Amino acid sequence: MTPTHHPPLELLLDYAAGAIDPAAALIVQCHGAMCADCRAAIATFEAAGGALLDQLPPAALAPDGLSAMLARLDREGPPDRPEIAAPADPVIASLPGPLQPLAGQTLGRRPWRSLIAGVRALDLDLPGRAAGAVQILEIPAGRGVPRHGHGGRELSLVLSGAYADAGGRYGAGDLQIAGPGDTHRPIAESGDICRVLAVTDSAPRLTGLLGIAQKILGNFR
Amino acid sequence: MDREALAECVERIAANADRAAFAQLYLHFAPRVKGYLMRLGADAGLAEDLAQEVLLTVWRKAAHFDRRQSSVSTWLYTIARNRRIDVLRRERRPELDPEDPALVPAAPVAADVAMDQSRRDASLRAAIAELPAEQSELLRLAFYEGKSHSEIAVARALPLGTVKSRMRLAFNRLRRALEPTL
Repeated sequence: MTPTHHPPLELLLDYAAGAIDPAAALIVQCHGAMCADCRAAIATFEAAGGALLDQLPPAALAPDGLSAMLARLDREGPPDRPEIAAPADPVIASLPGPLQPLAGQTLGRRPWRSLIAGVRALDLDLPGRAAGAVQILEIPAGRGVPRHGHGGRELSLVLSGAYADAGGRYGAGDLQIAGPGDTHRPIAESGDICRVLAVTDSAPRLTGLLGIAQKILGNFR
Repeated sequence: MDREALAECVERIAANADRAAFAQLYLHFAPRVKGYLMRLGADAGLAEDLAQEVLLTVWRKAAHFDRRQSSVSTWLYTIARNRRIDVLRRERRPELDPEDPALVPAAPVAADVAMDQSRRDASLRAAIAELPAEQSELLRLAFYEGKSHSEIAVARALPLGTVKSRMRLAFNRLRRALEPTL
């Protein structure tokens, strides 16, 4: 199936240029793994990046640069063999390729966390995340996540299954971008279990009564 | 070195752990990667160190390179770009991530993308050289200064919509340049 909700082109350029935080980069990579059109668009921008890299005037290297580099190779050993083993965990194996290493490492350290009514979350430790959250949410068919708002921007990429909210239907590969102030109440469609990669910005948390509500609902941001 | 020679170096590393091939790649790319990272704000020491890490990744992951999918320059650019996402946008310095998503084997490219790479490269370079000045500047701000589209709008005092439409025009030209000719 072809996704119908895509990242805007400017997000693909920001990603290709590296002007994006690690969590948003992960979302773009995963969408690209599931969407041939966006994968081609990213590759187009990256090819421009490669061409521009070639045109840069070379910087002078340290005088001992090459010998230091070769000494590092000596410590490193031979190049890796390409791995062919699929992940043992069936959920991890079902995820888009760019997400599998991080999700697999995370699952080696901590289990899924139960939220409510069969909804589970796996909190991912993405190196370099100052704040905000990166998690995989698993919503059984027909179940929902309570209505919630967003302190900052929320990017939700459907990994499998589908959900719907007042704004529309989101199936595998679809990306939903919710801004600050948007609230929604996603419900998973009947059929397959719905898994979503959700990333929230490192926006300031709300304070006061809303902040307390957000702490309770924080898992769903 | 031309693109075929560079691709052969990576393949020789993958096949035979060929150190001479690696040294050739190092001498070609390390100065450019270092220059790229310095433009993005790394000091000379950090940039040199990160350039070594990028080249070390080339050594380790050489078997992941597929010349039908991209040029060595583009592959190396994506590795350096991912290091930038990880490192330069925060204070703390992480260890080299062996699971860099750039190194996860990519899904197969469509047949129309996996076309004659040399011709694509030449066509792309020509298209970049022929971009109207404002579109060319946009790409340089993005790739050489690491500015996001909204940062470009602020830096050049342009409406966001203008930046987006220039970006789309530039994208369409690049995409046409990469299209098969037949």
